[in-house]
Parts: sequence; structure tokens; C-alpha cells
Amino acid sequence: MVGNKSLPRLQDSVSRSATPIPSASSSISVEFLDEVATLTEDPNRDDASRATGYIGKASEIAWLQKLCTKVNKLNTNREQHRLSHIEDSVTSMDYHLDHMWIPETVSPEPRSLPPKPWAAHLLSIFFKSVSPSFPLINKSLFIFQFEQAFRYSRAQPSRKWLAVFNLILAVGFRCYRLSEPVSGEDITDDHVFLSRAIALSTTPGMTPQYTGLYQVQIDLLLAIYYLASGQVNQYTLLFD
Amino acid sequence: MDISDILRSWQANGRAARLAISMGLNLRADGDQIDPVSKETRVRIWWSIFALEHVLSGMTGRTPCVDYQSMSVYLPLPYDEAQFQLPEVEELLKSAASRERRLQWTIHASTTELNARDQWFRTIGPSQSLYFFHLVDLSVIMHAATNTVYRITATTDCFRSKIPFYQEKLQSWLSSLQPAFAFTTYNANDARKNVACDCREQVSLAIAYYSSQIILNRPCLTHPDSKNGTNIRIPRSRFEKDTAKSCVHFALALVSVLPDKPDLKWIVNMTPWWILLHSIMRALTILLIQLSISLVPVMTTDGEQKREENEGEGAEAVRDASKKALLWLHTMASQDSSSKRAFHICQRLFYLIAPAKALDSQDVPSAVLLAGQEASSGLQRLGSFGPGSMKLQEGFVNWGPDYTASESVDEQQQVPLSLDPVLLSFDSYEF
Repeated sequence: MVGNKSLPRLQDSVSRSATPIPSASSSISVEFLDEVATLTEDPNRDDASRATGYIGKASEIAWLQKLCTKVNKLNTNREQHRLSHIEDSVTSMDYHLDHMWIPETVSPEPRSLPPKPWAAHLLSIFFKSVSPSFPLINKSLFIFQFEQAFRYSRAQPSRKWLAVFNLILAVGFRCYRLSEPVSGEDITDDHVFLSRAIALSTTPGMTPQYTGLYQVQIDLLLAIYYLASGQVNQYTLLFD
Repeated sequence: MDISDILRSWQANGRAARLAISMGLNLRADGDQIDPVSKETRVRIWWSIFALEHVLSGMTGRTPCVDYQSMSVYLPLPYDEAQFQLPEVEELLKSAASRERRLQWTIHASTTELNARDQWFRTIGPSQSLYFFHLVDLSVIMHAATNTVYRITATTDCFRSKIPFYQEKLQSWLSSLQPAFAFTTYNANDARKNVACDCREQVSLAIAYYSSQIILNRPCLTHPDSKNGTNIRIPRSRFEKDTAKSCVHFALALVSVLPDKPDLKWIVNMTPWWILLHSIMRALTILLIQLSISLVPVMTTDGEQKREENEGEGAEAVRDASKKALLWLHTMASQDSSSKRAFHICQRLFYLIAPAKALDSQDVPSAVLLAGQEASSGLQRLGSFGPGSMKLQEGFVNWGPDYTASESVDEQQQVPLSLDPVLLSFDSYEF
């Protein structure tokens, strides 16, 4: 939904006649960066547009969309085969968009811990690969807490610590999957970690206790996880 | 239909920012209730939120929810946790005054302050925290730049005059990098330095910098305007032409950071892999735009002497870089469905632009276009969701939040799992 009040709406090609028709050999200006940001379509109109949301003029998705429109126009002028027409809606250009709906994993035991060597490995991946760009975790403190969590069965970690822990594992796992691509194995570990984290960070009852520094870390880690996430696993499961 | 992960990330970071502001993480903390190390932890949390917000805002083109002018929080110290015990670091942690004197963002600092700060950085030596400082420093500059150059509200032509100001800030930033992090020289007379492919920080800073330059210079990379109803091109100013050339130059530079041969392990070990796809797409889109214009003279990355390339040579460099970027997307696509979609979109565009401009496209297998058509029709099917395609039954009630009736579909009417046709038609990619 790139705003530009002087460009024709996607569904309404008739309105193109409102602007002077350029001659076949001149290029069409796709300058839209000067315009006031305007919403010309409804981002709420269907599932695809809701999933994409508004895309502004600083995004390469918007640039791609304008380029497609231009290329389509050029090819129309040259009377090329209809095959070469590209669908130039913003949702078609949104390469992040996923068309598949995946049912969520629900982990029955949110407080359970993974095996310690595996957890330590994912932790070290996180601190080496992700933490330098997002140093939201006090590493020495966290490592100390990690050791405590596995050492004494009676030292129960707090819910929120466990939520942060599971999110770190989830992000670390995404990195691990990128470097060790193997299909056919159990590759949904991060979904388990994620569901545990979400279960732990929401308190039961009517009024959620949505406060505190931990909650800031939890949301930030969630944001990092989703950014680092591509829906790889599902497709590998289906097609391999 | 699942919502995109970028949208989820956007929402989660928004919550984090809102909660952080309610806890005053965007403000400087004095007083004894928080110990110095905890203060530093909170400072780093805040700047991590800021950095991520800047990334997401750049990916989606939306307004960020944090404003760099609404912060009084201290800057993150360029020392790792392991160094917090050192006396000079302890002093900085405890004394707000000395901290403020030594640490400023490039965008705010005077030349003298910058020189003093950069000299101090050279004595510290490279650390992950110093790398983070540089990263956020760049984000702050670009946050301000994007706010000015891509304004939502009424624009006048003067936004273009702000571009040189931020170009200068980016140069200052570049010159503040110490040798361990410096991925290029800013002085055109020096010998060219290549990005060290085995230095994680260099690769990450290089990608961030080139990506920032692309965004900054992008407003001048436009198709030529014609006077109404004629073929007469409206002449462009020297500044606009140079800025357009720079935009393409930096897109080429970003692609040149990648090794010639795609390597998934290199991605994981050496890059900020969570934004690599977006960075490549940003650069590749510029190159595709350039191919479709093919009239703007371009500097290649080899032409650091700033000599003008004639149209033919420039076009070849752009075309080669586009192919290299497509090759990388193709390799990444084996791991990641977003890359796969990105590859399909750009590959189709590339082969449609190339014949139109009579570039070398003899190696295009015809199967590619057919695959593209399936993808196109599959994606077009998406447009059939929504109110226009619903079978309106008798007794239809609008349960939506407004009169567009877009969200009236019964929740039980889940769309069955539909396989994305783009992912079924995956041909091998060759130059």
C-alpha cells in the first residue's frame, strides 16, 4: 500500500486516462518519493494485505512494486506475450509474506529444561552471533544463573528468567539450523522453546502483569527471533 | 494466511519500546538506586531496541516508534563486560560528566569532539562493544536522515538539499572506524582496501554502511522525467546526477562485500544473517532500477578515481552484480522461503528488463518464464480473498469494525492449507 495520490489505483485502470498519455517511447516517471505519504488502498481489505500491512516509500518492496508497474507498461507497449506480465501488487512483492498457516506448537511442560550440553551450545551460538549486535543480556550474570539452574534441582529459576532463557535458545537454534541444514530430523526445537517462553511470560488470570525489565527483554528477544525466522522447517518437512 | 514474521517482529519491538519508555530506559539514570553495571545493562537494552526499530523501519518503510531526539540516555560504553573492572572503565561507569565528555554520537558532535573521541577509540582497541557503538552511531545518523529525506508530511524540494549534510555525517562515521573495523578508506586517494571476508565486524559494518548510503542517495535515482506529452527529457542538476551515480555505486559495493561463490556457512559465521536478505534485496532492487533506466552514467566499484564510465561499461558491471546477487538469493533459497520468493520476484524482473534493453540474455532457459507464470497466477489467487470474492449468503451480517466489511468472514471459515506455488516450481539457476 504505497501512498501516492497521483498514481492510478491498482484495481482501477480506467483512472489512468486522467493523466496525459505519454508516447510509447518515453519512459514513465516513477518518482513518488516527493509525494506526501498517502494511503490509496485499504490495508485491511483482505488476508494478504493485512498480513503485509502498509509498506512505505523507504522500503525496497515499494521500489520493486513501482518497477514492476513500469516494466509491465513497457512490455505492453512492445506487445510482448501476456506471460511476461508481472503481478505488481504490493503483496506480491512482499517476499517476507508467508501464504501458509502453521498451527502453533503448544509445549505441555513450560518449565522443563533441555539437556545441558545442548543448551550450552545454543547459548554460546547466541552470544557469539547475535549478542554483539543486540547486547541486551548481561552475559556474566546470565551464565551464572544458567549454571545455578542446572546445578541445584531446588533452585527454581523464576518464570521470567526461564522465558528469557527459552527465547535465547530459540534464537540460537535458528542460527544453528542455518549452519547445519539437515532435513528429515526433528527440526522444530525452536517452536518448542518459543511456546514455552510465551507460556512462561504470560501470567494466568484476568489482569496480565505486563511490567518490568524482564518483559522488555522478552519482547525484544521475541522481535529478534521473528526477524531471524523464516518458515524453513515446514517446507523441508513437506517437500523432502 | 499467516502474518509475516516481519509484522510480528514489528509488533513485538513496539511493545518492548513502549514498556521501556514507561520504565524510563530512554532517560539518563543518576542516583544510587541502580548500580553502575545495571545502569549500563539498561543502556544497552535501550540502544538494542533502537537499533532493531531502525532495521524494521527500513524494511517496511514505516515510521519508527522511537525518536532519537526524545532520549537523554547515555551512550553505550565501548568496553566489554570483562573490562568493567578496569579503573578507567569504572570511572566512566560512575561519572556521568566524564562519560558525556568523551562519548557523543557523530551526528551531534563537533569536529574537535569527534577527533578527540576517535583518538580515544584507537587507544581502546577493538571490542564487541565498540562494534556495537559504531553500529548504533550509524543507526542514529540514518534515523535522522530517513526522517528528513523520506518525510511523511508535506515535502518541498529542499529535502534534497539535506542529503549532502547526511552524506558528510556518514563520511565522518566512516573515518571514525579504527583499522581493525575499517572496511574501506574514505579518502579516494588512498589505496583501496577490501572488506576482510573473515572479519565479522567488518562485514557487518560494511553492509550496514553501504545499505545506509543506498537509502540516503535513493531519492535522486529516478527515471527521467519528460515534459508533458513530449519526448524531451527535463534536464537534471549536477547534484542529482552525482547522487544517482552514488546510489548505484554503493549498491555495487554492497554486492562486492559478498564472496563470489555463495556460501551458507559464511553467511552464518560472518554476517548479520537476520538482515542479509533485506540488504541484498535493497541493493539488487537499485541495480534493477538502474538497468531499467540505463541512461544514468555510473561509477563502478573499480573506478575509485571517479572517472566517468560510459553507459556500456557501467551497464555491464550492474548486470554482473545483479547476476551475482541472484546467485546468492538462489543459494539462500535452499534454506529459507523468503529468499526463495525474493529470488523468483527478482529473477523474473531481471529477465524482463534485460530483453527490453537488449542486454545479453541468451542463456535464459524458457522454462524460467513458465515457472514465473505459475507463480504469478498463484500469487494472483491471493487477491481473490476478501469481501469481493466472498459468497454472500442470505442473512449476511457485517461483524466488522467499519463499513468496509473486510473482517466479516466467519472465524470458522479457515482457508485450507494452500501450498505456495512459487515453492513448487523451483528451477536450477544458471548464469
